[in-house]
Amino acid sequence: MKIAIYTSCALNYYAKALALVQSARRNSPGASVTLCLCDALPPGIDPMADGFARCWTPADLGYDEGWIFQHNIMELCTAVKGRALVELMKAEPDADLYVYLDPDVYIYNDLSAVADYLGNASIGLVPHILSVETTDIGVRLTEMSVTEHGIYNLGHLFVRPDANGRALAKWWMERLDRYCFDDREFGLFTDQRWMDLVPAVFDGVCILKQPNLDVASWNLSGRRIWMDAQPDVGPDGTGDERNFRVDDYPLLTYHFSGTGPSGTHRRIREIFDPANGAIAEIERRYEQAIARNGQARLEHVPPAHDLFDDGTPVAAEMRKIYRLSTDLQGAFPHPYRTEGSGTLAEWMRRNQPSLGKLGVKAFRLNRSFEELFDADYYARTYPDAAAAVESGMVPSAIAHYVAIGSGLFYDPNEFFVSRDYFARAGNLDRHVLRGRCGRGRENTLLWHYLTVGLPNGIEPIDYFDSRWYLDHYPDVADAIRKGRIGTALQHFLTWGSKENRLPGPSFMPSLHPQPDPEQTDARGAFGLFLRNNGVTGRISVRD
Amino acid sequence: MFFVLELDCSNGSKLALVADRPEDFASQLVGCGDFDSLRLIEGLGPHYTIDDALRAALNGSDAALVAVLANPAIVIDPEMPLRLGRALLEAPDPATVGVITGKGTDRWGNRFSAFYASAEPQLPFCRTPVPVTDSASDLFILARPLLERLLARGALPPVESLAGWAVLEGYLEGCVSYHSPHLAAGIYGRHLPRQAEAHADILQDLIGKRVVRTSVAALDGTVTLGGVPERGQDTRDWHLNPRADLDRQMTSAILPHCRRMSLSIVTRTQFSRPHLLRRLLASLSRWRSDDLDLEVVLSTDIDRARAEAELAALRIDFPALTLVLAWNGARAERSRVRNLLGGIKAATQDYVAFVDDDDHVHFQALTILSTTRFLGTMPVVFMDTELRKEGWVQAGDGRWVLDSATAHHRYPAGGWRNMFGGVNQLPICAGILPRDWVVSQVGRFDFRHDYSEDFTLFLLLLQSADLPLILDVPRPFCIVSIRSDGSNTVTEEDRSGWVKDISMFLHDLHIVNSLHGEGRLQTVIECRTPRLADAPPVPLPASNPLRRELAVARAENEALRARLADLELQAYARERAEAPAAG
Repeated sequence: MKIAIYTSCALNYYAKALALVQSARRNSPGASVTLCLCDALPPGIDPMADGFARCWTPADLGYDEGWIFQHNIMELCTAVKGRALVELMKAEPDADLYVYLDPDVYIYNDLSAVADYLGNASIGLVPHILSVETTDIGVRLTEMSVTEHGIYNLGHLFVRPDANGRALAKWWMERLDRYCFDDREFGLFTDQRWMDLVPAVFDGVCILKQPNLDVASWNLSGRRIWMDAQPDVGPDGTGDERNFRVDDYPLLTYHFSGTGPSGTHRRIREIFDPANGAIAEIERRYEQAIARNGQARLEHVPPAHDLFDDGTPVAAEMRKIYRLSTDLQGAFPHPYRTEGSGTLAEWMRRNQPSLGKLGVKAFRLNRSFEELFDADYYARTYPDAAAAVESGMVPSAIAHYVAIGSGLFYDPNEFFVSRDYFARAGNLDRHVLRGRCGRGRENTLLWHYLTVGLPNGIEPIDYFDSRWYLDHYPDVADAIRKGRIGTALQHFLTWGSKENRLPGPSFMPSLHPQPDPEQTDARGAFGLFLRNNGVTGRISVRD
Repeated sequence: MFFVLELDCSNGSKLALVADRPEDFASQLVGCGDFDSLRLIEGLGPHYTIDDALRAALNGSDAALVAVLANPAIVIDPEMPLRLGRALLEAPDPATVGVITGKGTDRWGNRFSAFYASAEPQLPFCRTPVPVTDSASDLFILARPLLERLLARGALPPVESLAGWAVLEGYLEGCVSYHSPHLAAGIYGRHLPRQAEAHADILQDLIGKRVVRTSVAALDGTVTLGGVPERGQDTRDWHLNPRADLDRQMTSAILPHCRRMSLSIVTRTQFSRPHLLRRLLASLSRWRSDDLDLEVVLSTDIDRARAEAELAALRIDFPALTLVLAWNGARAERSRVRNLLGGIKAATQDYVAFVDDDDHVHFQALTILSTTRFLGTMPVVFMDTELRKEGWVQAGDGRWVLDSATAHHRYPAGGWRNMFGGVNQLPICAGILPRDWVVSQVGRFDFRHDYSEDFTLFLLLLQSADLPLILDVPRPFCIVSIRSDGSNTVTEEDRSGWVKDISMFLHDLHIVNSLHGEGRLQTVIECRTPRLADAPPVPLPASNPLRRELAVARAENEALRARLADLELQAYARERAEAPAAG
């Protein structure tokens, strides 16, 4: 049986894609693997020599620069999947089965078994989960996530080259060419939500409920994963990976989504099946495999399509502005170019001068979070939190805020009005705030501000405007660029207000009294104004 | 001025020396019998730099190692050649060595010194070789191959940063640097001064561009090296350009010089919390290191047949682990102690650590341990312990799901320094201990009680006469689970049983054991807890002082009497067992 597999990724996933092709060659010998590399190919990396049957870039598939520019890297890697399937059917017309696998999938046994699972069906979809969750954490972390991201996991797709399969490929390509964005407010999550329609609108669809497919940290509930102790070590010493079992099936594919610097995969596994030795072994071997493939070097390489041609990063907001404006697309068909005049970059600098300055880099998020948390203010304002810390129920004020305070709309500092912020930003990327009663920093309003509100221009207090602040005070912008401080709000909270800098264009200091010298804890004119007059979401302390 | 010399060591090898000394140094040596083995190669006047002196040493001597005495205040005593010779004897192949130093800091920020400086007096500490990430420049030895490569690059950094820089360059080239206690020296004055900020800038200039961003422990604090692409720099090119992972380089340079670590994890278990025990085994299996031999001793006193069945089932689920059963007899009193001692006895590896069956190991712990036995030494290792509050829920299929886990507290590895203040600072899992040493120590003490056996064990070990070097590793070894569902004893409210056992254990350690000549505890306690100062008023049972004294004396008398009776009985039993069989 001839199986044509393809996968899609940028260079930062190349080590994982290599593990996929290596596992296919070892455990599913009748398969070829095509790579869609949504990135520039650097010298020294040769996908054909590494075992891929071919390597296509978005340009090879017929996409132009303007189209590529509209997509962030996750959107881009998924948006090409439809057209790549159409092209693969042309490139390998004699294949019996076309299979899309995410680059972080590993094959443990011969995939031709899937042909049996499909029976006479043309299209095989793999659901994210096969059983209902019976714990609240399972409902929150898994079921609610699935309803948001799509019923079927598009890390796997099986298509036969018949009329139904070709119709699906064509339809999917057309949708992804135009609407493959992570825009969950509008019901889109890249290519995945589209597939929810497939069982209803196409014939010959089979929902593959075999538990040995697409095993992943999010669907361990209801599966028993174990290792058959039969000694079957192959000549290369790795044959025993074929002995992993799921219930009574041989394991076919494991999906290592989230394996990497974030450690999400491991953390989820440690919640849902922390005591399973077989899964721990599967995880360990996979990490060793990708380490051998150069994961440590490649995982941090920024995708070429996330950078202008002079190496500066494309801000997410720039991409969005470009996507929403057909005028800009028409005026700048080569948006990555920076040389000469009349470039998109120059237009952005002139018309959107603060773009790209407001996001907090991922590696700095934790530090910015801590810098924006004012433990003294918090303990002073919320005696119950202070008492909980004092009694040892929580180790610190910040831990109280993360575990309890944010959910109760406690303010992490004097200039962060949680109620007001939630009212204005709560609808934006709501998934970040899901389970505000959760226990992670990621579920707090302060984190939401750093990751969602700030880049989208939503501030946690009246009058403050980060963009204006940075444009007006270049020393602050410079300090952020050099990494000395994380955000404009942090500067204003710690120094700016005391120096009587303005929070934004709409605050008129001449209308408000300066603090008395003895009011040493007041944060300048704005601090005093805040105490005396209050802002939206917080009443004044003056009676 | 610099003097370039060559030392003939007693084992036939040679050591080149570069010394910054006063002008009359050569005349000091002439006629001094202790320095017969020293040969003067060259004296270089004040206008010469240390670069010139090092080049002269390479040209004038074929020695594989070059000692540098960069601090003119170092006192050259008659035995220094002998000590330098010992350092040479201990040294591995010079091709794999960077710097051997008299004062340095290891990867974890522990500082080691063999110097005594009159203006900054401090006792020398660390009596075994330990790999370092920074070195003082007062007195150090450089391996010739590394020195040749460094000199070939051009001018060297200022002398006060020279040794520290050479250490890191050495690691980048696969060479290990280490502290040697043989490089002991007196300094009449101060150590060679170094400005932390300037030193960090020098290292960043010389090394920063070649390494991924990392923090390195230095004598003056932590130095951050490497960086992120500068503004306007091609970030892809920056990331694709090979950069060394200094931390990984250090591990791979140190590892070949380490004796292979072999570790027995002793886990006391009644097999009553299978999901937690399996979580522990999954963590050990997941994070096992290829550079460490691991054995897990399940120490229990439940029904033997059931224990063996449990072991068989675990062996199927964790085939990568070597699981051993220590069955310690039918369950009786002092179960904790019996299973602890039984586990130690059953352990077969060089080291032993204790991890309770509801805890699990940190993901880096076993890898870190693989480089602790440098040059065959056997240090006692103390690591941090993380306490997490956990909530577990059972899913419909019976599987246990970790519903919540929040960091609660961290016991630092260095807590052992405060153990004699009266409060246990270390969970039992904090120590990774040489097994034979532990066996010999516990054999000298009768664990007659049960609770607080961990505190007692550590107090006993820390006052041992042959205590090895203690290495603090401020990284977590074990993650301790605290649950509020009543399934762990630390959350029990009534602690009276613990207090009873602690007091009786302490009495045994302090008074009964001292009758056998174990008197060191008194000294270490008094270093930490002055006999009278800060002693809180103790409420006593009766108001009449004479009656109170009588009550205390009676209690002590009772305890000693019981102890004597116990010892008599043991002696009697031993005599019976050793007596030749009749007929």
